[in-house]
Amino acid sequence: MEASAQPTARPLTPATFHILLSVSERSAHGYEIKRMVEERTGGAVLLGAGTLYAGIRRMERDGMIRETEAPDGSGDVEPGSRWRFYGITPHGKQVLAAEIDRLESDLQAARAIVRRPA
Amino acid sequence: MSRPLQPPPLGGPEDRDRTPWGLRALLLLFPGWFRSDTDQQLLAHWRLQRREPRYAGWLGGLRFWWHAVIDGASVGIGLRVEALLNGIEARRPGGIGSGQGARGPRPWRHKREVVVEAFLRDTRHAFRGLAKNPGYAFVFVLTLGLGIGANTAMFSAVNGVLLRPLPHADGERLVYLRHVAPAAGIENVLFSVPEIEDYRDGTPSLEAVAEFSALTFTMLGYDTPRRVRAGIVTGNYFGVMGLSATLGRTIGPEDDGDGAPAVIVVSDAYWRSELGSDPDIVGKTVEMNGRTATFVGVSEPSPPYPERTDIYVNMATSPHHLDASMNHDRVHRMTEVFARVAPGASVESARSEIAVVSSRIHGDHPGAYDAGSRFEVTVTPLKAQLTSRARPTLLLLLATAAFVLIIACANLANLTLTRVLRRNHELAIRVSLGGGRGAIRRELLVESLVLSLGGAAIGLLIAAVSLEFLVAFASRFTSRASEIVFDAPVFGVAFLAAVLASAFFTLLPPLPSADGFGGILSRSGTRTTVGSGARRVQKGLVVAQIATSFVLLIGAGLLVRTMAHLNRVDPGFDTDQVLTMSIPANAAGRTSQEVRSHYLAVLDGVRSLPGVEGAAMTSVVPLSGGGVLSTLWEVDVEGHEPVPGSPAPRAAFRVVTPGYFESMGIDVIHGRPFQSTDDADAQMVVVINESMAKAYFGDQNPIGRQVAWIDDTVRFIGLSKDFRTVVGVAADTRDYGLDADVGHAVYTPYPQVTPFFTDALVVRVSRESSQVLPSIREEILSHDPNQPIASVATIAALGSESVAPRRLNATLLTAFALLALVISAVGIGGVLAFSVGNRRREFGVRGALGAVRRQIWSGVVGEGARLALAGLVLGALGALGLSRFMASLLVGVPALDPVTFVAVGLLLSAVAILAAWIPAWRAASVSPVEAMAAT
Repeated sequence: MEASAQPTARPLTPATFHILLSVSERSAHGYEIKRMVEERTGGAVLLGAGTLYAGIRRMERDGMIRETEAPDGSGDVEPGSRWRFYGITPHGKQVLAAEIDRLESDLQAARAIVRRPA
Repeated sequence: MSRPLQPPPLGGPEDRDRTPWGLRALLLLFPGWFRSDTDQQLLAHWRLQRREPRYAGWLGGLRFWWHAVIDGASVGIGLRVEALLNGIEARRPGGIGSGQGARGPRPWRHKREVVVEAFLRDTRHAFRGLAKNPGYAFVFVLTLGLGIGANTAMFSAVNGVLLRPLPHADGERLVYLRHVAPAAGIENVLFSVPEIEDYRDGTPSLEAVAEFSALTFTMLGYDTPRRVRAGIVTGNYFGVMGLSATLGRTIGPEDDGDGAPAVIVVSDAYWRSELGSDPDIVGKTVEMNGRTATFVGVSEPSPPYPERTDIYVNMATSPHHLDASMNHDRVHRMTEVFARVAPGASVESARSEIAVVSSRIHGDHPGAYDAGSRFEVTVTPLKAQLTSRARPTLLLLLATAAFVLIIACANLANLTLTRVLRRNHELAIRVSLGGGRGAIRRELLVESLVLSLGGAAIGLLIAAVSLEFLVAFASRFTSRASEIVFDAPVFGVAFLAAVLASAFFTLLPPLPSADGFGGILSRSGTRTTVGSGARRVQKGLVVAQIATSFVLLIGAGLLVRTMAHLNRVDPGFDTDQVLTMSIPANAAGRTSQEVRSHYLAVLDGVRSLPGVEGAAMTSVVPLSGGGVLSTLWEVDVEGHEPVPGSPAPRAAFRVVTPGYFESMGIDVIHGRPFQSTDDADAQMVVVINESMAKAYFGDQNPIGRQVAWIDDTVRFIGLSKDFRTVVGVAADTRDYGLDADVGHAVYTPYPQVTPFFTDALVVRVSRESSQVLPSIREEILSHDPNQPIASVATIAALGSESVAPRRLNATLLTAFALLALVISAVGIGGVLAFSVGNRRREFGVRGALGAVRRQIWSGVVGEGARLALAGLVLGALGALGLSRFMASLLVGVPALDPVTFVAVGLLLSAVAILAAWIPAWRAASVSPVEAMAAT
């Protein structure tokens, strides 16, 4: 695929990055993703519902995530309930890896210049 | 790693019903294509989110809604813009479970995407920034909303009344002709048929000339007897006016002439409001003036002029209009004239032709045109005529609303400036990181655009809510009020105001140069110092607000003083205990004597009712605006020699029954009131009013002197020109309204003139009028079940009504002025608070150095007072100009009323000092230790 050769020409937005990270291990539904992001960042990143679902939609369109079956052990999801679960795609994994690389190299470059106060 | 969350069930339809409507409304922020796919997820998400501990309680609820609305609005706008720019592609989600949705960047779209993304980023950034400052956003949107609301509302009125073309076909070619006698104080003499024929023949610039005369008829046979205001028109009236029928036909040339059957065209307004939009109206017949008339159509809606018109009838419907006197007597004037300017001709050319005809007929018929009264005919475009009374008021209020918007914008500019200055440090870092001043401006623009559009939405809401009130208000000044609507131009104005305001807010804050930022950064602290340029702008804005408020308060003050003056005006009669109503006798088939006996019987019956202290008939109800007999007639006063070149003496003609002065509570100063012995066979007598007695008899006793009606018109109502003896002098009464001048009036006893036109009943009651009214009504109907009873009101209500337009004006202007005052007070307080906040350290140091708190306090209050003083001086200059413009709206108050100027000056100073109080108190209580430690 053409796009996966250079998965992230530009940095991901914080929302994209955190959504991708949240579904990287197992599938999750929207509200779950929001809670995971809040827990992970200690409440520093708050995703509004609109931001979240618009992001999910855009990422789905761009092939980074896809809708999945409800994962095992996700409990008493009633038959016919309409929560949608999303999981990462191979392309999404590449994007995430590339972004982490980019962040790492940026961070290293920054560390080389600015020493954090002890 | 977080443990998996229990996914709560996501509801079916029954769950959707339980969803609060607020959340469902929130969905509307998102575009439909997004909603249709995601609504269940969003609703479930919000319901869960709402249960989180941080959103508990009402404060938490408020926070939830704030976040949800901000998030929804920013994402919703973003999705819409994206979809708009990217076309349909953005609307198709990628196939589930496949990577097919993945698309590489397309070079040709790259540039556009970057711009869109930048814009979306700015929008999101703006929303986030605002989400963190709900107070700022709230004050901004509300202040601007009030300003835009006032302007949008006033503009909708100006647009509907003054700007929009008339509904008549080719309405700009319509003119209204008016016959006036300015030197005699007569605003409208009306035209006689011979005069109209002269003008019609002598003005080729007028393509066609139509006649209209207003009379009130009793209409029998539709359902209950009705009093209807009829316009008696020539067959060319509808053609000239450019009006067609929405049902049936209009009156046409075939309806002219004595032999034509009587026909009626109903006005749209009367058809809808009084006839229940009767679809079968055409062909129905009613009885009027003793003859049968047929409804032939309903006219299209149009503003009635010169007065409200319920129905239009042809000449044959009014026997009066067919008689010889009406058609051949030059002074039998009771017709209004409308005309259509010929293609290629102009109003100007029509005017000069009219002037030529006037001077010719004045020469030919000197008896009909008393030279001293200076008769002339004016030609005014119909649209200008329809709106002449509304124009000054509406323009004044539009200007006022504009002032309010200016003040609001000045205040918000200050707020924005303060916010930018507070963020100086953040902005400085961003500039240094290469953010660029352009980017910051763009961000400011998006932020103020978002807020201003919010303000415009609030403004439109305010304007929409006030529309009904505005129509009622404007209807007091013009019959075009019903054309005030909420349409595209009104939306356009609100939108334009928002865009201009946001441009203003964006460009106003001076962003310090890169050097300036460097300077800020080099201080390394978080405390930023405000550049002197920015502070000058801030102070200038405050001074402008105070000056503008001063002008508005002067305007409001002058109108309020006018109202106070009018409330003190003595109308000359009791207003509390007197009921009036119009009870026109059905004259058809009755002789004058029968009509007279009918009224006297009604009077006797009403007088005998419990709760009634007195009753009388009169030709004109005071304060009700005159009617048919409101015109002034020439009189001959004994011993008064006419002065050549000056207008002949004129007076108002009043007919009253004995008991009138007593029932109305009008003092008879000299002589006696009318008695039952003043009948047709007795000596002819009159009572004159005080003004007239003073004007013609000075200090001499007027009792026993002689007065005669000598106007040519009096013979049409069967009045003789004989001398009549003055038997009494009555106190002056304000017959035409509390704000109108007292003219000369001559009262004549009812039995000594023909009974027609004397159809108003006045009743003095000793109880609540609503208790007595039913029995009065019953008594009247017992004498004639077909008797219409109309215009029932207390005199107090009529008095209040006569000054209602002024009161509304004063109320509106005062509301605007107080709004301006509040906004300005917030402005002064805000600027001083900011200035104090920046000088905390200075105050602390001064405190440490032993400055007395009071010195610091008075320093800050002094700063406020200086700003206020500068504003007052500028405002006073502005008010001098404004009050001259307002002179025509004032009664009993000089335009440069010192009381108003001093009172407004004191009020504004007091408010300014109060507004400075809190910041001053804060400055004085800065602890030296704390201030030093903060360094």
